[in-house]
Amino acid sequence: MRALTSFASPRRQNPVARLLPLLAALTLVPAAALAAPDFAKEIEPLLVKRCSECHGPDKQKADLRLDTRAAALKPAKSGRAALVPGNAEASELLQRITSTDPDEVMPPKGEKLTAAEVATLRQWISAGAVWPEGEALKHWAFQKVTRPEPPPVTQPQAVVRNEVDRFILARLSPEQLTQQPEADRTTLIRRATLDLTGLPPTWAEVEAFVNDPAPNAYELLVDRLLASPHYGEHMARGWLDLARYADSNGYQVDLARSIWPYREWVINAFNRNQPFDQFTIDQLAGDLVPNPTLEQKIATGFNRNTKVNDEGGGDAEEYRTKAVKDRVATLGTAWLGLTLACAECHTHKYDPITHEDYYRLYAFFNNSTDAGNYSVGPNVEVPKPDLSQTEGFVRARLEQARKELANAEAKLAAEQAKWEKSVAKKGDVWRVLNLKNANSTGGSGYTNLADGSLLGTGVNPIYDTISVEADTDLTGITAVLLEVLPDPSLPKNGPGRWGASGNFILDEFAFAAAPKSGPVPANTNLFFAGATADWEQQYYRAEHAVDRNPKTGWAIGPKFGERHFLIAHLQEPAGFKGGSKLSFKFEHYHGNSHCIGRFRLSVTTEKDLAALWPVSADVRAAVAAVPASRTPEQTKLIAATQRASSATLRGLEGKLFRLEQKQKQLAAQKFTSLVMQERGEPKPRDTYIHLRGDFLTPGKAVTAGVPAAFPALAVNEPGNRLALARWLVDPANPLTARVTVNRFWERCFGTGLVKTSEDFGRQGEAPSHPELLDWLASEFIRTGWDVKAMQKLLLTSATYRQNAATDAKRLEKDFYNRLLARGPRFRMDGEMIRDHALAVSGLLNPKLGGPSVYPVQVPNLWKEIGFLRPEIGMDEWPVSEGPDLYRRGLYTFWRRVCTYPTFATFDAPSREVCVARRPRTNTPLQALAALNDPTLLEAARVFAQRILTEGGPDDAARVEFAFRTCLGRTPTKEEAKRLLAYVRQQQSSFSRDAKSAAELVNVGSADRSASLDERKLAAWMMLANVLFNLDEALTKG
Amino acid sequence: MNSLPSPVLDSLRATTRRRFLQQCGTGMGALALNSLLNDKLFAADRGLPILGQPHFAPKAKNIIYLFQSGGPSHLDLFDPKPELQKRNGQQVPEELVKNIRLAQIGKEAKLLASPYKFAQYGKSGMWLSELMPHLQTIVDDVCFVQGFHSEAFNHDPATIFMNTGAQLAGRPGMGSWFSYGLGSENKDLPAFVVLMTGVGQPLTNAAWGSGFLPTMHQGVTLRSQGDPVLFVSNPPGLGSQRRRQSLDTLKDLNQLRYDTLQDPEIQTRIASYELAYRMQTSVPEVMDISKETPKTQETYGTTPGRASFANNCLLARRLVERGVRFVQLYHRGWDHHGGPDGNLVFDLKQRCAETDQPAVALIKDLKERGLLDETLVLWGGEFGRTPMMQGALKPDQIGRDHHPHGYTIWMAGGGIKPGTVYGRTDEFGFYAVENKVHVHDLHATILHLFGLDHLRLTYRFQGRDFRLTDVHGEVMKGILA
Repeated sequence: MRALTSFASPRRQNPVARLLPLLAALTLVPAAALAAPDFAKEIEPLLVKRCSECHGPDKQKADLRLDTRAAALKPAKSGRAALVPGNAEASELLQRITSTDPDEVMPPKGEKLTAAEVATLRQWISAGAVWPEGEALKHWAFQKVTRPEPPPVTQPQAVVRNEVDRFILARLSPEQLTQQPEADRTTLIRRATLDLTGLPPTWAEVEAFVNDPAPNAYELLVDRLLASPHYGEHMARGWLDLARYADSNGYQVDLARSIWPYREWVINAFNRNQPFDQFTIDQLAGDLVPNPTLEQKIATGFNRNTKVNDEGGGDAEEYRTKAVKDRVATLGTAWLGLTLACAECHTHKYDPITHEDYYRLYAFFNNSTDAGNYSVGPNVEVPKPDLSQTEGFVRARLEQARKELANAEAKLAAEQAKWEKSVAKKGDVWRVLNLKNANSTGGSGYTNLADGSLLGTGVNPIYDTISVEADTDLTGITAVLLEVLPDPSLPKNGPGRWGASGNFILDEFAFAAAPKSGPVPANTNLFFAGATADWEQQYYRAEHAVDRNPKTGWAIGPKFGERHFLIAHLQEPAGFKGGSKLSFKFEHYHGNSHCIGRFRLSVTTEKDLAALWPVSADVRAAVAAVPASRTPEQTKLIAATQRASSATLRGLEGKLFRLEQKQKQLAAQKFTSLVMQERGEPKPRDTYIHLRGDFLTPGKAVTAGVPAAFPALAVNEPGNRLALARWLVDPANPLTARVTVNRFWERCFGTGLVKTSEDFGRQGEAPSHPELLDWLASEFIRTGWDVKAMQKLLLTSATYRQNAATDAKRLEKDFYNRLLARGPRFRMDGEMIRDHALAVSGLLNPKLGGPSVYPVQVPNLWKEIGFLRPEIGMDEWPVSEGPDLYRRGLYTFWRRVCTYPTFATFDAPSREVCVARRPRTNTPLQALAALNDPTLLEAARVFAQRILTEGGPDDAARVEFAFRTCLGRTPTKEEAKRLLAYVRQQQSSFSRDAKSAAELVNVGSADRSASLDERKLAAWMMLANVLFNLDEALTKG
Repeated sequence: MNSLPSPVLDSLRATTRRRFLQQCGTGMGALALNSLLNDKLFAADRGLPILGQPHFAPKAKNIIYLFQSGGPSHLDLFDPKPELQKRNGQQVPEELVKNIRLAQIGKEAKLLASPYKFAQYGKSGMWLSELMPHLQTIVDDVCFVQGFHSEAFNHDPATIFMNTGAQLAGRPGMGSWFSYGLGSENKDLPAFVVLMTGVGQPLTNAAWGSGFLPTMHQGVTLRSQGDPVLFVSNPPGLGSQRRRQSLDTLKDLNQLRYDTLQDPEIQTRIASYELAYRMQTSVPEVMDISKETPKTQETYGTTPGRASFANNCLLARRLVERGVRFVQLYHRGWDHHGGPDGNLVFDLKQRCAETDQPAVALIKDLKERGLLDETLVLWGGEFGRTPMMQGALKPDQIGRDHHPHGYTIWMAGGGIKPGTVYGRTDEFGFYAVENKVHVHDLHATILHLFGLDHLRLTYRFQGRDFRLTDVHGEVMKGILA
C-alpha cells in the first residue's frame, strides 16, 4: 500500500515526518530487519542529484560512472570499485561520502550528504545494491494502454452508475472508506453547471431540475449543459493555458498581436465536439493536411503562441530557436506528459529521451517561416467577426451625444447675454509673463518672440525638462495659463516637436514662487488643485500634467498645428508682497521629442474659476459693441468663444469626436491570425544538436524523428508535423490518451489520477488508480476520442455525484480527497469568479467569440512597467465601453508581462509557457481582490438593483431571492437570519449617511434607475458583496 | 457547532490553530512562515509551500536590492582605466571582441575614455568618480565587486537573469526563493516587496514573479500612485467599520457552512479574509513616510507624495524594520547609449544625482539603527557598459553599449566584508579577470548569508529539482565578513 500512503495524509507534507523512515534507519535496528530502500524512489534520485554531474552519462571524472550497475561495479581510476554489493564498508562510494578528509569527501561541492541519506545508501548496498536495469523503459506510462476489467463491487450499499464507480469503490474498500450519499439536486446542478459551462445555474434552471420527475433528469441536465455554447468557452479556457495563448508577444516591450481567431477556433472545436485526434492534427499540422481550410490554418496558431522578441539588438536566431524549443516543451507537456525540456542540454536523467531525441523532435518544428524578432507573420486574413453589439453601442451613444449637444447649443443662446455681461465686467483676467532664463536639460535653445512666447530652436531633445523664470508684482495668484502655439518652424507646424505629428506630452507642469528679496522659504513649490484644457487627447488629460505622476501627461492629438491652452489652478494663492520670482518647469519623459515647441505663460488673480477662460481683445471689443452695431464677423466670434468656453459643450464635442473615430475605426478594421507555415525550400532547414542547449554550439546534424523508446512513426509518412501529429493520436501511443483523460479528470475532480498532470515520466507521481486511468484512456480511444462522451461519463458517475461533506475519518485517511470518498469541492479560477458575479448580477454579456476586450482595470498599470512611448504602443489599457465591459473572463486581453491582476491573484499563469495545471492557493490578496475589484463591486451594485426590483415585497423575501440567485439553494433559517440582520444593520447606518451611500453605489458605468433610493441600494450592495465573497460562492462543490 | 465530535477532528483543529498561530502570531522562531499565508495545509498542491527555516545559522535577515535598471557604466563610476584614457578614439583591439556578440555597436567600435575625474577613498583605496560624492563617504562600509560578470547582453533577458538565475522568463524571482525558503517575519505584510521609479526600459513581472513556486511567494509591487497594494483600499463610501461588519457576517456564514461540510479549506478562507483586513491597516501605515522627521527627510532627499528613488529608499528602511524579508527597488533610466535619448553626460549625472544621496542615506540610517548588520544592501544593474563608444556623437552626448563581461556591483551590511574591493577587470575594463563573480555566484553567496545552501534550496517542478543557481554557483568566501 506504499502508493496509497504517499498522498493519504497531510502529515506526509511535514518534513520531519518525511524523514521518519530514514531516521528509523539510523537507530540500532539491524539493517537486514528493515526493508531494502526502493531503488527508483530513494536511491536513483540521490545518485542523479548528487553524483551524476561528474559521474554520469556526460562526464566520468576519475573514470567513475554511477548511472548503471555494471559501470558502478567496475574499478575506477583509483582501482577501487564504488559498489561492492552486500558490503557497504568495502564500497568506495560509502567511504567517500562519509570521509572527514576535505580532499576525499564526496560530493566536493555543496553540503555533505545527510546522515539519513548515508544510512539509506548503506542499507541499499548491504541489501545487495539491487539495481533494476532498463527501468525507464519499464515505466508504467510507457506501456501500451490496456483495458482492465472493472473490479467487482464488494460494498453492497454502494451506488454504481458506471465503470468509474467500480474502480473507485475497489480502492475505497481496503481503506474502510465508503461512498458519500448523492448530493442534493441543488448542489448537483450547481456543480455540473460550473464544471461544464463555467457559469452558475439560474434559479429557474435549479427549480426546473429539482422538480424534474424524469428518472434520468440528471443525465438530461448533463446533455443540456454539453450542448450549451458556454461549454466550449469553458473547455477552451483550460486548453488555452496549455496552448500558452496570449494577445502579446511576451518579451520586454511585449507588443500586441492578433491571434484571437485561434481562441475562437478552440471554442468552436469543443462546441462541435471535434474528436480529440482531429483536434490534435489541426493544431499541430492543419496547414499540412491536403487542401487545408481557413479554419485548419487558424488552428495552427497553437504553435504561434510562442513568444517573440521586440527589443532592439536581440539576436533573431536566438529568439527563433527559443520559440522552436518552446514548441517541443509544449508538445511534451500538452500531449505526452513528458518533461522533454530536460533533454535540451543533456540526455534526460530519468526518462528515455536522449539529447539527440530532443533535437529530432525539434527538427519537426524547425522548418517554419516565422522569425524570432519583430515577427508579425505569417498570418491569414479572417472574415470580419460579428461586432454588431459594439457597433450598435457606439451608434446609440453617438445619437445620444448629438441630442445632448443640440440641447446644450440651444441653452447656449439663452445664456449669451449673461455670458457677455460677465466678459465685459471681468475684462482680461490674464497677465502675460515676461519669460527669461529659459533652460533645457536636453540642450535645446529658446528664443523670445514678440508676443511673449518662447520658441524652441536648435537641438530637438528626445526627453527634456524645460525651466523658465519670470518676475511679477502680483499677489494672490490663483491660476496659470499655459498656451501652446503653432509655429512654421516646428514639425507639422507644432505646437510640439515630435516629427511625425507636432504633438507633445507634458508629463509634469511644476510651479514655484520665491520673494524677490528677503529670506526664501524652505519650500517654494506650489501645488495645483486641478487643470482644464481646451482640448485633451484620449487618455492624455489636462489633469495629468499636474497630478505629480511623471508617467501621465497632457497631449493634444489629433488636433495638431493649432493653438491650445491649459489652465492650472492653485491650491493656495501665491505671490509675495514686494514682488515674486516665479519659476516654471515642463517635464517631458515620454521620449521621441514629445516636447513643447512654442509656449506662452500668463497668471491671474481671478477667484471665479468660471471666469478663467481666456478671451481675446477682439472678443472683448466685440462684446463691448451694442449687438445691433456688431459686424457679422464679430457676432460669429462671440458665439464661437462662448461656445468654446462652455465646459459642457467641450465635453460633448470631445465625446462625439471619440465616438466618431471609434465608428470609423470599427468600419475600417482588418482581422488576421498568426499561423504556422513551412518554408518553401525543397530541403528542410538543417537541424543540429545544440551542445549544452546552446544554439551557438552546434553538434551533430539530425533529422526529424520520435524517441526510440516509443512506437515508431508510421512508415511512408514524410517526416513533418503532420506525421508527428498522427503519431501522437495513434492508438499505439501510450501517452496521449492517458494524459488527456487525466486532465479531464483533474478539471472536475480537482486533482488528476496522476497528480502531476504535466509529468507522466518517472519523476511524476504514480497514478492513484492506475487501472481506472487505463480504462478511461482505452474508452477514450474506443469512442473515437469523443470529448463530450468522456465528460458525460465522468459527470454521471456516482463518484462525481456524491455529497462533498467530509468528516474526521475521511480527513484522516484521505485528506486531499484523492480516493474520492466524497464529492469534489474546490475554489474556482479567477475568470470563473468574475463570470460568476457577472452572471448572478445579470450583467454578463453572453456573446461568444470575437477579438479580445478590455474590462475595467486599475489605471496606469501598463504605464508603471512600460516604455512610456505611446507611438510604440502598449502604454495605455484602452478600457472598453458598454457591453464589452461585461464579457466572460476568457475574452480579456491577455498581456503576458502584466496579467489581468485579479486573474493573476487567483493563480492564473502569465501564459509565457505551457502550463498544465494552475496551483490553487488561498491568500489575503485574493480576499482583497474579491472584496474590492471594481468589476466585482459593480456587479454587487447591479445585483442589488436586481434584488430590489425582482426580490419580492419585503427584506426577508429579498434575502432569500439574493441567496438563491447567487448560490442556487434556499438559505437555512440561520443563514437567512444572519443575512437579514446584516442588511438591516446596513440600511440603518446608510439611512444616516446618504453621502457614503451615494459614493458607494457610484461604481461602474452600468445603468442605474434613478428611482432607486441610494441608501437602500448601498445596503443591498453590501449584502451582495458579502454573498460574492462567501466560500461557497468562490467554490465549486 | 460541531456535528461530528471526534478526538481526531479535535486534534486536527488543534493542529490548525497551532499552525495559524505560528503563521500569524509572533512570526518568530524556526517556523516563521510566510505572511501571505496558505501554507497549503488544506490545499492539495505540489511540494512543500514553505520550508520555513535556514539550513545553518544566518548572518542576514533582510535584503534591500537597489536594482539600477538599464546598465550603469562601471567605467564612469567605479572602474577607471588609464588604458582607455591613453587609447581614447582608437579601435578596440580585435582579440577583445572576437568571441562575443554585441547588442548595437559593431566590432570596429572605438574606445572611449571616461570624461570624469576619479579619486581614491577609504581604507580600501577604492576609486570612485566625481559623480558619486555621497558614496565616497561610506567606502569603508562597502564591498565593491569589480570582477562581476553576467551573460545576457539585452535588457530583458539580462534583467531576468540577474533576478531569477535564468534568461528566459518563468523561474521564480530571487525574493520568491527567500519567501519560500524563510517565510516572513511580519504577519501583516508580504515577504517580498517591489518598488519602482524612473523612466526607461520596460520592466516585466517576470523578474519578480513566483515562477513555478506558489503565487504566495510572488513579489508584491507597492505602488506609489493609487492603491499601494492592489485593492487594499475599500471603495469610497465603505469605511473600515463597515468592512468589519461585512467580514463578521462573512465569517459567521462561512462558519455555518463549515459546520455542514467540515471542509478545512473553509477555515483557511476565514483566516485569509482576516489577514486581508489587517493588511488594510498595515500597508497604508508603512507607506506613509510623512511622519518621518524633517532631518530624515532631508538626509534622504525625500518629497512625500511625489514618487522618487529617495522616497523608496526610506520606504525600504521602514519595510525591513517591520520584518519584510526582501525589498527590491527598481530605478530605471541607466541605459546610456549616447545621443539625446540617454547619454553619459546629462543622463548619467541625473541618475547619480537621483540615487547617490538616498542610497547612502539608507546605509547610514540602517547603521545608526543597528540594522545594517542584519540587512544586506545590494546595488547594481543587469550589466555594465562597453569600453567602446557608441556612435560618432558630440562630446556632450557620448554613450556606451551593453556589456555583461565585466562590471561592478556593490554590497554593504548583512555579513559582507566591509571596506573591500574584490576582483578586477582587465586593463580595458572589458573582461572580469580576477576573483570573478558570476550571477550564479552572487546568488549562492546571498543565499549563504541567509543561512541557505543554494544546492539544497530546491523546488520540484516538471520532474526536476530547480534552484535559484540552476546547476552552477559558488559561495564567494572572499567577500564574507
